[in-house]
Amino acid sequence: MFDVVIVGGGLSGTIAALAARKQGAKVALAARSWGATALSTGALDIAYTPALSRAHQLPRTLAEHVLDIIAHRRRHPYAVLGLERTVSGLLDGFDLLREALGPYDLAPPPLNLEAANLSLASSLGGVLPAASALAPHVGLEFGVPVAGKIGVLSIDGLMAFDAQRIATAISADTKNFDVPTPEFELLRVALGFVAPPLQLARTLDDQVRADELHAQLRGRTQGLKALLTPPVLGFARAHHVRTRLQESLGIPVVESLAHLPSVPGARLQTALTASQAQAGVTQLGEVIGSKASAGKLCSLTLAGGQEIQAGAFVLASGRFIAGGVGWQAQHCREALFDLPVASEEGPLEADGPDAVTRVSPMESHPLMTAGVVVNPVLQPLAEGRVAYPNLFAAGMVIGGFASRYSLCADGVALATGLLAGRAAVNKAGETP
Amino acid sequence: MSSYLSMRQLNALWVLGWALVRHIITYPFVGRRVPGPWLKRIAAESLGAVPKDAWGMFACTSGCLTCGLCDVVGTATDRPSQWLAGIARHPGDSSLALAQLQRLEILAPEIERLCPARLKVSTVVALVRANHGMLAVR
Amino acid sequence: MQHDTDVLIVGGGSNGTGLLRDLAKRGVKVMLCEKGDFARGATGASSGMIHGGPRYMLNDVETTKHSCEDSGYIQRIMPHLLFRIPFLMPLLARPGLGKISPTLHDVYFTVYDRYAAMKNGIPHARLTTAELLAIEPGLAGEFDGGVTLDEWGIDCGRLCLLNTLDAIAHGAQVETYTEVVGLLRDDHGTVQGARLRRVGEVTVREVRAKVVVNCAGPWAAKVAGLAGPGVRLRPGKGVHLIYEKRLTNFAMITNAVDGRQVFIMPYQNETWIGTTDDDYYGDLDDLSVSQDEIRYLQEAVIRLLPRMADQRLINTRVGVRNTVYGWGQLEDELSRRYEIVDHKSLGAPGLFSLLGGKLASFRIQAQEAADAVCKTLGVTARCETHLHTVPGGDAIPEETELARAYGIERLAARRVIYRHGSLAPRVLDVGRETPTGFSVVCASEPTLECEVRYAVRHELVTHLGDLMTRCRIAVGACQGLDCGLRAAQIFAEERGLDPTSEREELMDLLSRRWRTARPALKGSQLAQAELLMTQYTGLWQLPALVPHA
Repeated sequence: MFDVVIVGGGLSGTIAALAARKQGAKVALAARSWGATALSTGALDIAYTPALSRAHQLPRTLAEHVLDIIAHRRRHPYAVLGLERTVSGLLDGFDLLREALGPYDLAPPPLNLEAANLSLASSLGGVLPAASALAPHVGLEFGVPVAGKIGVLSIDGLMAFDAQRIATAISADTKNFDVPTPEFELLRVALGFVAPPLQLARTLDDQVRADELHAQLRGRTQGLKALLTPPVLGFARAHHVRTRLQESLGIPVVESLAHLPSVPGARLQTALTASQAQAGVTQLGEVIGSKASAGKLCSLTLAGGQEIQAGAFVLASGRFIAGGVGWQAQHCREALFDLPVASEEGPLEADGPDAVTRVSPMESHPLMTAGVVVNPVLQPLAEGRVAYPNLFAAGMVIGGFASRYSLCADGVALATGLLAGRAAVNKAGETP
Repeated sequence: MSSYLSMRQLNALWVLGWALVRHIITYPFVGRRVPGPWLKRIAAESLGAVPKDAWGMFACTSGCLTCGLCDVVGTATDRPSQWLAGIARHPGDSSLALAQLQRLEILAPEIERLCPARLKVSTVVALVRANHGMLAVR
Repeated sequence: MQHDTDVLIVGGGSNGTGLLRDLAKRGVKVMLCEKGDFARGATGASSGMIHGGPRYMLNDVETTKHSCEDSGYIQRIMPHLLFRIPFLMPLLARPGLGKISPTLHDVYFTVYDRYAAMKNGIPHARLTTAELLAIEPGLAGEFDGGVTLDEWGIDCGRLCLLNTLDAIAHGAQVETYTEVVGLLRDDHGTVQGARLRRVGEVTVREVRAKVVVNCAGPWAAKVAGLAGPGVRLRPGKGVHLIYEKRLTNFAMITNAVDGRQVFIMPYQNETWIGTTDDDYYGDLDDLSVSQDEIRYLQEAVIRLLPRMADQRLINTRVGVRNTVYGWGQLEDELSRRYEIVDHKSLGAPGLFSLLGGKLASFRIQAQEAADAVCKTLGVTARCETHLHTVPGGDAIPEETELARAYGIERLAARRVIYRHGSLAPRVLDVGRETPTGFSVVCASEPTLECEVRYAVRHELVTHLGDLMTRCRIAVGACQGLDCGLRAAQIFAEERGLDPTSEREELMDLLSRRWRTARPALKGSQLAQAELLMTQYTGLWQLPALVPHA
């Protein structure tokens, strides 16, 4: 018997579990697969609304972006939580994340909601706004004039990361915004094999291979202020590979944000899973059902048949990629408890996906914002009523937002994860 | 116009009618055209019946999102994402994966633990192995 | 009068490109303009079969005979591009009729075998119910046995491309993304050319031609209308569903709820279910597939093959047939006949329209149209399109040897050979230029990087989206997740594009894909779509930079 059981082991589920552990609860986390967290870019998105930025000359702080979201998107989790809870959830959640990722040398710098979004280099070409990022991607940002020359590294045999194009794209972006274009120097190394990003990163975990990289770069970085590299510098030993390179070259080495397949995403998920065990969270497998009695959830059934009882539960099962929400025959529903879902526009009642997607993929699609509806204390609702008083939700299984247009997925995961974890502990502690 | 049309139809009826008559007369002697030769011809062109287990295999590999995360398991020289892509495409294309089947079998539990599409890799391996003979026909 | 060209063809589908090749080979100076890319109309949405029309034999034996004969020619001129599709036709048990139906079918296909021999058909077989179920155990229902037959499939986009490349080799000119906005006419109404405008530009230029041939397919009425009324089509909307993977090697025919024939068929490395045929009066440039149409087709096939319910729908295919107008007949009964209209009788000499027809008879339709045009021009050269191969059709390399020679996967070799025939080595030679030349860009095919590069260099690619028909980029289940990005980079590299243009091209490709994929976003495809949006969030955030200073 546990105090709290979390369903889902991504960013929000992990933070919920860690928050519950912080309060001394007996916590289990049941995860069946990796999901969106493992496919993230390395950035940490809290809040960024392009419209707000374009409307003003001055950059806006993260806090102002959060306020903008709350003001204009009333079904967004930030709006449902309200400003106070959102801010405390973000700050405490971020602290927990830093603590969890510290031992794996992935921790981002401390969060400052009075700062503006950063402009980080993306391997897609050009620049992406992000509130923060995992450690390997921090240290070089293009929203401010960059003094000195930046080296951009490409590795022969690594498809889809072209230093020339990235440098040109960043220059184009900076020009559009009247920021002095940085000076770039392109560097190429040949490691003698062709590999997809994850395999390349793991190959570099090998000391001999990493040494080859050093050898090829030695002496070529004189006069450079920093080196921007593809996000493939090691996997299990990422910190070691990168910092050794930094030491030997004498300049900061910063990885760009990734596209798929994503090494930073895989690193993040691996670290989060390890941090669960580190914190004493019992790790379980797939949940296939649940049992309730007297209107309360009593237990979850695992794929092997065991029943796991707990006082409270947190649903952090993700959206479409991880399968927390899905569209089967005629309806879009949440997968485990068959909860109804809503988009940022309201209940999702449609016969087919074409009714809830827009003609141009560039527009915001209601379908892509689908998820369960929650009340301000993160309890999922069904037909306007709380589904189970001891069930809470966190992360992308909650609807009302799509990261594409408000770059906020990690912020929602952290804030809702933290608050749901704490709420679950409190609920479990209540006398029945 | 209408008589033009019916000329064509009459011709068709004539051709088909005659064929029916011929069929009725010769059938007791010639019998039915059995499928053996037809099947043999198409099998020779690698278009034979897909084994019935294959449908089960399709259901197992069908959800692959090509996210590439399965390359996290095994060693740096393993390429599970590409082997699975080969099997997922068409069981007859499993030739690449066949060479690596043993490796894939060892990695299967780890892959299943993280695959977002929840591909049943062990089942796939078992099905490929069971149908290896038929699938690898070229 | 000075002419820019002898013949101007409007429309780059199977009719237009077929005619282009025919005329060019006859030494006629010919130009083709197409408002999009090749095969964007009826051709690109067709069932992709070069069939002999067994259905028409019931009413019209001659049509079937000619179709089979011409099918044979098409095989001869582009052997690498055709793939055999074996068919199973289960016969639903009908109480009372017993053995009559199988017998009638047996006789019918015995006759068809005669003609099918001209296109390398395998003589059919008649199956007992036991044999039927042994071949395909997944079938559900009560049967009175079945029959087998076989037809041929073809890649429609490559068909148009190869016709065009051959035509260009014979001196033809081609302009894609160029629309006809008006016809040039003299005081007597004689058509003397057309006014053309490149998509996205404002300037209109005049091209003077002795003859203009309207091969605009579903838009033929609109183009003909530029010279006054008189051409009428009965546009028929057709929808196919595309499933991931080649689920079966056999195509199967069944009936839908309204009795119409519906088929499931393997097509390259996909499985298609098709098709519908409904009168369409809407916007030809804005077609969409409804949930009803999807359900109609799915129900029909799932009734026959219940296991299809578990398979992954990845996309839809929709287009409009340019059926010749006929009143009072069910859409299906309208023959797929074609007409060559000489607009002289409609007061616009110098204009011809090639209307209707089907993909399978593109060559013979083009031949007749070319004959008519040549007569007007006083050209006596005869048609030779059935005698000579298209580029790559002269020999089919052996796949294991090719795979070994270039160090690539056998399956990748097979696909390159399919698309390029004897030119495959030339395509693969490009792979030796870069360390990633033989890496897989699109896993669904697989398509190699060198093939993308080759296409951009030599296959009349104007926009990134054109690669969908050249080498099937972004056509598979992945929806362009990795291949779109990589193809955009290769495209930009080859053409020297700046990053903004590169992003725009990629967004255009993804939009194109999205349009037909939207109605099919259930199950795995929804997860795939979410992944796709995650991947390309950066593109959609433009302009993205947040300046501080």
